[in-house]
Amino acid sequence: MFTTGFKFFFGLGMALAGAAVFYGYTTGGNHMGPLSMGWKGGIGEHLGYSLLLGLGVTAITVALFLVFFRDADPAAQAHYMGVEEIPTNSLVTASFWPVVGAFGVGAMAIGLVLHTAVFVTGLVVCGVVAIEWLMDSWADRATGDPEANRVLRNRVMAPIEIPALGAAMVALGVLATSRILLATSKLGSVVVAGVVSVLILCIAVLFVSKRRINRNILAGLVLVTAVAVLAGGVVATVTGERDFHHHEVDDEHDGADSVEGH
Amino acid sequence: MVATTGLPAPEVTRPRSLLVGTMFACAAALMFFFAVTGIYILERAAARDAGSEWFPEGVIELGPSGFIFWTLILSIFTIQWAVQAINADDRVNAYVALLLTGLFGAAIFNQLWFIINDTGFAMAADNAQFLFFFVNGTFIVFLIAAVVFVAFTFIRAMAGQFGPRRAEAVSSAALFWNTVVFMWSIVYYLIYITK
Amino acid sequence: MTMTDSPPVAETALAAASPRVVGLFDALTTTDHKRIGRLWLRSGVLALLAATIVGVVLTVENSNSSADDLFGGVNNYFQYFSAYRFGLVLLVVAPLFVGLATVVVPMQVGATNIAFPRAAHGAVWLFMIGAGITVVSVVAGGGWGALDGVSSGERDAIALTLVGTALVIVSLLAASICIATTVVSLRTAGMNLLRVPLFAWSMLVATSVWLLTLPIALGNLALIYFDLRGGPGEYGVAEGSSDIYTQLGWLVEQPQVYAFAIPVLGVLGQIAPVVARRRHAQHTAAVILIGLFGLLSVGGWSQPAFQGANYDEKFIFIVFGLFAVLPVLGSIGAATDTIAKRSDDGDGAGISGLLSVYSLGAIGAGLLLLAGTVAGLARVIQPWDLGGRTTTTAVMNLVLYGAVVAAIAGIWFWAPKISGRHLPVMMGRLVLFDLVAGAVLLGAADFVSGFLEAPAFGYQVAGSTAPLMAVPSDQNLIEVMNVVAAVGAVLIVLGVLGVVAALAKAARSDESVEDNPYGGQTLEWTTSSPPSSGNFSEPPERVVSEAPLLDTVSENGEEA
Repeated sequence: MFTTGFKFFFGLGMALAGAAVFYGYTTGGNHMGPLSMGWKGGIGEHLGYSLLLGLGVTAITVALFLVFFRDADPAAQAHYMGVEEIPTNSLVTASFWPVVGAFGVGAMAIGLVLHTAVFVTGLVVCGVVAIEWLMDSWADRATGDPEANRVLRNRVMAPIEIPALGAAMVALGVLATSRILLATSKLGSVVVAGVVSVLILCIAVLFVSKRRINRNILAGLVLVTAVAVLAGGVVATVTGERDFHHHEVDDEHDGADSVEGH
Repeated sequence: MVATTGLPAPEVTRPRSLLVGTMFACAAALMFFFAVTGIYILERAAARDAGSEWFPEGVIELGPSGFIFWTLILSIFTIQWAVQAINADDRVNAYVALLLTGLFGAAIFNQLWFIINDTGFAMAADNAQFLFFFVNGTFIVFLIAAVVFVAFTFIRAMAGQFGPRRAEAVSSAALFWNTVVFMWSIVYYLIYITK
Repeated sequence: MTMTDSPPVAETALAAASPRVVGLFDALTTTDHKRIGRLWLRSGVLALLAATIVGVVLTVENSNSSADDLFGGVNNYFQYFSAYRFGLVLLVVAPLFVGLATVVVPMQVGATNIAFPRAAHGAVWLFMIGAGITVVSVVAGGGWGALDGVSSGERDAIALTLVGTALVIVSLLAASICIATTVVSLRTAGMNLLRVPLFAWSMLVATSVWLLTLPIALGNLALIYFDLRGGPGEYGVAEGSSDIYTQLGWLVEQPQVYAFAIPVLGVLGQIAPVVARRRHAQHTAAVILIGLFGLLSVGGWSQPAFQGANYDEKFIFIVFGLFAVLPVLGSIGAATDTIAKRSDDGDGAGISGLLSVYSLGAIGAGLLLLAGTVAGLARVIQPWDLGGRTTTTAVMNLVLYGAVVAAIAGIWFWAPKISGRHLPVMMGRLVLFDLVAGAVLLGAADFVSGFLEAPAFGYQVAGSTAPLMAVPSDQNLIEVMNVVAAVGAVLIVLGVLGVVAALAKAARSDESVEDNPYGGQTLEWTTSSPPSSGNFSEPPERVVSEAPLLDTVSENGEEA
């Protein structure tokens, strides 16, 4: 009648709820307070009482769910599905979105401390990952043929993904290069611009000459870049703002000179 | 379009996995919430024991937060309507119900934003105002998560992958939504009724 | 929208198993639970090495009060003191068990994969990112508060430590959901929860307790963080105070610290029947005892930061501390009963099983956990007044190193399923003996020092004999005990280095391994070594007991 999972969680919940009542009375609760959640009397020490009661209520709720679907026992699942034998769990296709999502959440976390722009970037990455994940899940269950599912998924998503990725890469490149150019000296910016141009040319030549780039190398490059971005964020956070920022704020005269100098 | 006629049907997947996973996630979310409200209860009791004022008199109004409460009560019916409709293979009703639930969520977000702004509280002002932001902010985060869950379920429902005995995702969204409603009932009682 | 024919039979899921993954691209896109679990295990072992090295420096500093200050000030000592404690719990023990469970539990319950494999993969990467942020920020002057003043950069580094810790906890919660859901909803035909192998059951109990309690720590972290970044300064006091550490300190204190060692009882209960070459003598009792230990390890409700100095005088806190010993004692008793009734069929295999690496490790881990809970019992006996002293450190070290030893015994035991290789036997015996001996010395020294009124935070200003927080009754004996603790810590580091060496040696080995080399009784031993990506070449037969492989043998008439 009562399943093992129900017994465990119900026992856990009842014991913790009981502990809450005991805790309430032994820490200064009075009258019916600990039994009525403070309605008729004091409950004693508030945090311990609230958390023990919360733990108890949550565990009992889990117990009730488990007994509702019979611990999700294989026999109960088969009965629910109306089949003799319960199917094995389906194999999920490979996807790089979980790793991208983890880096997105990492960027959000660092952005909380470092800068709103980093946080928003992480948020956008997480949003993209959520949509891609949703589409992957949909495609996995579209038909029983994994290859057809893959084609179906790409047919729907590729017209969005490729232009979006291209635009994002161009925007990122322009933004990053502009920051570098602004941060370096006059001569340095000329050198950087030259190097970046040559780099773009080289990558283009590489793409044209070798149509299929080793995906492990590509994955390695993306991973190293992602780690470098997060590491850069952490380093930027712990080292604080660069000195010349303080300089401009602290001494307007010097700042004006430096602007004039440029 | 890719011709899918003649291709094998998707595998029969194990039921309950998503529901069980959501159940554990809801348990974790509830405990986070209880941790936050537990500290609120503790600090409020300490302030009152010390004879000091918690919130300034008349700043927290019951009316707007009550609208949220009753809207959320209404949303319990709409989300369960969606579950029932999917189980009955009634797609149109399921779409309408999920859309309505999502709209209720957006309306609640709007209302709560108004309430928070209306108080004129500042996070750094004192402990009471900080915890006011913290508890309401926690609820907002869970509300957004619930709306996103419902929105994704709506999209999956539009793709036609749900039906009788394949309503796990809708049931899971409903479970998370109802958990969020439960959270508000606690926030409403703690902050807006008993202040 | 799709138009399709009738559904295929269930077996097609197995036939459609994807090929074994190779290369970085496949590693980054994998949804195979074994590969995901190995990532957790590698992270855990790496963190273990780092944490134990920090542990050595801390104990050497404690034992060397009159010599040079290794940390260069009380604040640095505080940073590494707190990093060692939180690191041992969140970056070492939890990931080791999560890794072991991610590999083994799906096979034990007869599933082809873990539940939500993409989420499980995302979780391990989130863990690595969170752990990286935490470690770098601590090294850069962050940490869980500061006892002296902080610069704005250090203040940000402290904020970064908080978000790093939060990411680690979120990743552990996500992995816990995957593991718990696997045990509950992906069991093979005939396997009800009472027939689940004890390790899988212990992981269900452990992850359930983590899911109920770790969000409380997440709530604490959020409160501290937002206060630090713009609140009134009640909770997120970053400088001149240990408040932040204190608000999270319950994670490494009893009863919560026991929660991280729940799988120790599962490993013990899993290995004992294999050693005994018979069914577990008290399977149902073991299931109940693991559940009971789960109940008594629920923490979070006891938070010294909010409940004042007498938090440990509360009746329920004492009850939890007193009774936690019983399920551990009971589980060890059940395992001993099983081993005592072992069937030795004349070839001495039963004896050699008893002396196997995994057997020694499981027994050692069980005894360390028992010692930890006994120390915890002593700590709640009010007349002894051991709160805030090194007794709390002894409880933490004994329990957590018990968990580490159990995890390493598990790695040795399930190595054929984790990596498809055996780990070196003699090296394993040495390593586990060394780890247990080191943990005993470390724990015993701190336990004795607690009775001598040594404070848990043992930093002393260089050249001074006066400790920072309290005046011990017998400084000389405490210094002897500190030296013993340092020896224990060094032994532990040597043991961990041995583990790393054994893993490296095994990685170069190309020997083939039998599918079931030790006479395992649960479903993971029906898979190949290493298992294929779908785990089972054909769906497991309907399970009728907690030891399905013994049932198969019985049916074939090969078992007495």
